[in-house]
Amino acid sequence: MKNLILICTIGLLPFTLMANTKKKSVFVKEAKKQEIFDSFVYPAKVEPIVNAMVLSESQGIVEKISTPLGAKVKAKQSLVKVRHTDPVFKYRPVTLKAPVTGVVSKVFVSEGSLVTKGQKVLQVTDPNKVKIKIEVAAKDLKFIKSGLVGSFSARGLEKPVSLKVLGVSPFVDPATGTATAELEIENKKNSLTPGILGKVVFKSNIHNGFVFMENAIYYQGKKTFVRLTEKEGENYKIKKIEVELGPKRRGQVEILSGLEEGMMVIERASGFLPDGAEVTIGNLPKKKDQKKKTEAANKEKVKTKAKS
Amino acid sequence: MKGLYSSPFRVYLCLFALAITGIWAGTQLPISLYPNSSKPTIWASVSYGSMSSDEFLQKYGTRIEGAIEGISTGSLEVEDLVSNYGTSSVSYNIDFGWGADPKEALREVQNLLNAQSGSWPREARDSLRVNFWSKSSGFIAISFFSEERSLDELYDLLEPLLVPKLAKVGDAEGASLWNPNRKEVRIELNPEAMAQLGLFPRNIEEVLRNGMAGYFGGSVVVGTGKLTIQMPRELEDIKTLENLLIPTQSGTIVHLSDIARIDLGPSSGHNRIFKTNGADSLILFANPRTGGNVKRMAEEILTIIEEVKPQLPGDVQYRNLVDPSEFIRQSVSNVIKEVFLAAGLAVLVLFLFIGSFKNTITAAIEIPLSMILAFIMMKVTGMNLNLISLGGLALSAGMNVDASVVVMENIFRHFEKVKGPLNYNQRLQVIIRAVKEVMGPVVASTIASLVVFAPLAFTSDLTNAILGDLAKAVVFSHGFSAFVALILVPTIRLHLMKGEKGVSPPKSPINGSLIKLENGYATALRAFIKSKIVKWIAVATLTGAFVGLLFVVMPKLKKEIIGTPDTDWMILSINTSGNTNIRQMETTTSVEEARLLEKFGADISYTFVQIRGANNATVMARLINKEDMNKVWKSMEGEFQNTPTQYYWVGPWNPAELPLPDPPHMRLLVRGGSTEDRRLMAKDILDELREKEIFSRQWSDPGVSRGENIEVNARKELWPLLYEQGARFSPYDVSDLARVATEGKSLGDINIDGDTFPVRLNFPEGTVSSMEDLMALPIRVGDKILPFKALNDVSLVQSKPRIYRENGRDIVVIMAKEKKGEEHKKDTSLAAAKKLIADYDKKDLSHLGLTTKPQAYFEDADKDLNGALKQLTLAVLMSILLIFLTLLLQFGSFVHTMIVLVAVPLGIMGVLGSLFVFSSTLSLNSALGIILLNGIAVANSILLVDFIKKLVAEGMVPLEAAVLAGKKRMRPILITSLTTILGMLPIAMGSGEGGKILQPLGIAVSGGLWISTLLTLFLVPMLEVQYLDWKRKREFKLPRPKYPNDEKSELPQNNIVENTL
Repeated sequence: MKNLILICTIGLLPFTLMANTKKKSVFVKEAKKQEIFDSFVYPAKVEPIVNAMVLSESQGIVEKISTPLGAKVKAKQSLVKVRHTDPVFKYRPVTLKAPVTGVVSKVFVSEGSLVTKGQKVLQVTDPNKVKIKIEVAAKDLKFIKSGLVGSFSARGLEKPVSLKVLGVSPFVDPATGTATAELEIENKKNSLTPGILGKVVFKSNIHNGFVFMENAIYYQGKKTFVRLTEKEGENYKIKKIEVELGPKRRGQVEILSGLEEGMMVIERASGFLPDGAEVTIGNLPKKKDQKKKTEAANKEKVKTKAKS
Repeated sequence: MKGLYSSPFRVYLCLFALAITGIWAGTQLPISLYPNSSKPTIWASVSYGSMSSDEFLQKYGTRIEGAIEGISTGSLEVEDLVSNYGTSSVSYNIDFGWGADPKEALREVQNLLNAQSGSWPREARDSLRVNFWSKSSGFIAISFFSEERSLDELYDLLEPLLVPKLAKVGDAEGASLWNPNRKEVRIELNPEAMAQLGLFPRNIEEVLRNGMAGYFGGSVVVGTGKLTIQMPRELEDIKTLENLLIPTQSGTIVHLSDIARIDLGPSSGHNRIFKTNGADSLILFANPRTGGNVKRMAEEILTIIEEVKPQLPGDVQYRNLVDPSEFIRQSVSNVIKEVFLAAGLAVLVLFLFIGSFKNTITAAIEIPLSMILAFIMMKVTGMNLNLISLGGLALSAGMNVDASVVVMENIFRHFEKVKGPLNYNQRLQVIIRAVKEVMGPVVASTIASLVVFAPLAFTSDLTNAILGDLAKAVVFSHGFSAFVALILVPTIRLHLMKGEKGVSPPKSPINGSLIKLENGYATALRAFIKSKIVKWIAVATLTGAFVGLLFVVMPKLKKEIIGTPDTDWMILSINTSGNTNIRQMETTTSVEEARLLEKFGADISYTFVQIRGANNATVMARLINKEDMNKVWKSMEGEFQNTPTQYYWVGPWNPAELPLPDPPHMRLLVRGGSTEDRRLMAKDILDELREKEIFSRQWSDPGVSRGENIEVNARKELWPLLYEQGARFSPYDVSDLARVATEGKSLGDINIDGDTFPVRLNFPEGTVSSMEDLMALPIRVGDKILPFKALNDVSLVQSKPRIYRENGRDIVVIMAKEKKGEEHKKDTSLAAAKKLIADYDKKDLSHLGLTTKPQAYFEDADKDLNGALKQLTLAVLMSILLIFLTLLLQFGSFVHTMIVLVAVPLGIMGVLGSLFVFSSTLSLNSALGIILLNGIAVANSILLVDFIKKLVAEGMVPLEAAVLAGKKRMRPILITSLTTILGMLPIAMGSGEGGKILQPLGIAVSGGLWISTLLTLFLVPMLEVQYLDWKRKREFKLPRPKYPNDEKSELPQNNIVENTL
């Protein structure tokens, strides 16, 4: 029994040795400058640009509302008849006309009710022309300026719609710590209904730089490093270099200095990587020129064979 | 005595009754893998929410720790306290000593913390949790499935039948029937709709909680009757839930369905998934509670299922996936087989030496009888049948025949002397005389071989917990063997010899060979003693060998506490990172399981998968053949190599319930300095260890990698104005919003159509997937929709390092371990690590930017084992001292005692030599082997010395006396030694599951005894002759007697005065 186990273990020894000497594998990403930006996300409200209030021009009794809620109206179209209650005006009816083309979005009074001069009667909104309003936190004001381009997304919207900041109020509300900004957006196919809420995303501080997964960073005391793979003959070896980190965005870290274009940075590894250790690369990108080279080499081989 | 032997039927009846009681006691003994001792660990946690870890530690933590460490009542004694203060909560791991009652320990900690909690902040008080913490992994898992029913239907069918019964299983903790399809009521809030209406999750929660409860509206007496006023709960089904009315900030009222999607669906918050062979099934799962008997638990649960079985429809089937009771039963039955084998071999030896079946059986009946009688004592003292106590019985099987043999031989010797037929009374007289003569020696030698166990009582709790059962089993069974030998053997003899004339002992079947052996031995012994140089060379060699074995070989022996048995379960544990959902892990795991089955399908009978979280799962594979364990283990380790995205661990699993210490091979403490500096330095050291790859695995407690948190601080300055503007929410609502938007919130259970479902409030998946998303959560104030970040400062901060304390010391522990099968490297690795730290201390650490100076130093990782072994060494020395004192009393001479004691180093040499040759381990078991061996080896030595002395006193020349004594005593020595050696052989072979545990003991005793017997037979007579010659020369100034080579010596007669006795 004892011997059997001994034989088994001796027999298995080469396997364990093989297992031990097996190289660690890594996933690398080539250092390539790419577009980096800070993103600012804001909840946003869709508001109509044209939202005209129809006020009563005199004191009187509403005689007839000819356009109910939701009715499409054209500019100058008569909407409501109000009969003067003042004998001076001989109880003459006055017609209130639509100030703009749009849809009756609110009806404040009912037929027969008494209105005073200047009282809200109806509201006419053009649903096709909308803008977006956001509340910008005070500390973001230096980034959110008129002309900044962003995109709007909302539930039910197929894809984000691009927009532009029209202007930002110079006044910060002390209660909310925000300033209101107005954004211009095109309402294609009338998909943006006034009143809905969505999200606006701005890209700011757009620049080119290196970004890598946070896993790629190796902290040693106060210093920060990344590990590279360097090709030595057919093998890949580990090299640790110090880098300066920039801000982190969505799990990715920007590397400000220390890296050069084309370096192979390790993002994930199957274990701890000592400096100088040999590794295999799990996600080696297939290079075209490498392919060509091997093809050329094969051709040469064929040639030499033919010669001999 | 006369009355006793003369009424054999009374003796038989009495012993028969005792035997029946013993058999009954034996069947009543609980069976487990290891002795019935516990070492409970209690776990307590408190979360302190708004306080920082430093604050809590200073204000309350030190007081809590002090009080816990002070627990000391009765058997309860806190051995170790580990506290771990994290960002928002602390956990305490309280280790009690061996033998502490788990329930009592739990109660004590609960009471203590409840008393303390009075002064804590409310949130801390409410979050206090205290429970058992179980290191052992024994559990039972049974799957239920049906081809005709859905899992829900199956669950509805089984739940009422099984669950109430499962609750009654006393040894189980949290036995439950797991439905992987468990449903929950999910209320998915629409964030935009909520913001537009100015609602917060808390508003919804309030309305829901009101709707989920029923109310009692008092009662009114109407006429003579009393009517109670009841207000039934509003929510009864999904429809009423959808129609729940929610008042908004602006005064309007909306339905819940306007702002949320409500459905009853499979639970998303699964924290565990179980699978059998890849198929979903209902799983009955149970862990033993601390101190619970896992085998009994499994058997009780299986009995429950057997009971329920007749009530189940035909299509419902079940399968025992993991049944620890089966494993334990097999292991234990294996050792029982070994006990029988040991007894059988002892009987065989007996037959070879004694001849005559009748006589062999007379002596051999003692083996089962003393074992059965030992069961009574085991039952009385609350022991159980386990590998250890059974090992004790196997061990004593060989020793037990000794007393019978001695008694029987003496009876034969006395009958040999009488001539002519004897009547009954004469026979009785002869037997009584014979028994009386050996009664003293039999009792004395039994006590002597038991007294060596006495020092064990003073060893550490760990040793006691493990070896106590073995010692007790030997003491009980061997003690009873003397009793049986003195009572039953003479009675049977008297009975058997009825009508016989004077008898001579029957001849052994191998008598011829034995006589040859005796003669050969006598010749060799004579030559050895007479040689001038050889004997001293032998003494010098043996002394050298002893010193060499003690100081060179012993340190090289592998050390372990106790071996673990082979098992047919292999575990593949898979760890990933970055998964957020348990379903992602399910996919990963099924890929890995398929790979396992593809490569090792031929060795695997079935698999059982436990997905424990989004990034952790284990696949348990049941092997078809247990013998393949090591092979499969190694090839699995080769197959499942870590990848950049997945980490694996492969190892065997056995449901042992004894919390044996499993220490790392290195323990390096970093202490002093600030918490952050400790972390930085520990990480630096850990990285260096990893860089040099000194050990195969190294880690630290607490983790030292850098962590980050999102910190949200409410902008307090805004709130007064916000309230002025009519905001009707508080900073609490805002933080509650963040919680519901990120991980969701459970709101308790709701009853729908007689079923209970958990209710969960959350936002649509993916609402918050980054810090930016969190900062953009909409909140309505007046007409404005504000982003979350307008009211709060949100930032990414480096998280505070955990404060880890062991018994009140702030430390970081760096630990390291060698891979399975490479443990032998640990000493060189440890030396390398020590060198690394010595170099590290000289290094410039400026790159770490430390402000304080932590220090790193090593601690003995094998504290428990080394402590136990040290105490066992002490126990060995004490047992030798006890033997020495007993001998001194018997011989009254220091030198004779020392000569007898020569057997002890010979025995130890034999043990160390055989442990080394068979690459066994220095464990608690082998140390016990040494203790046991000392007793037996010395007995052989006594037989020789005593007889030589007697012969010399009768006037023989020492040399002739020694040769004659050797020749005469060789048989009894061989009988006692061989019965024990062969009895231990099956255990030394280590066959079967349980075998591995006792193997070192078997190797120690059989190997050691063999060598010691052989050497004692030569060395002890030689030394005795040397001493007697020297003494004679000194006392009578006589010339050394001449020993002519070929002629008979003229023996000086009657001129030797024995004055040593």
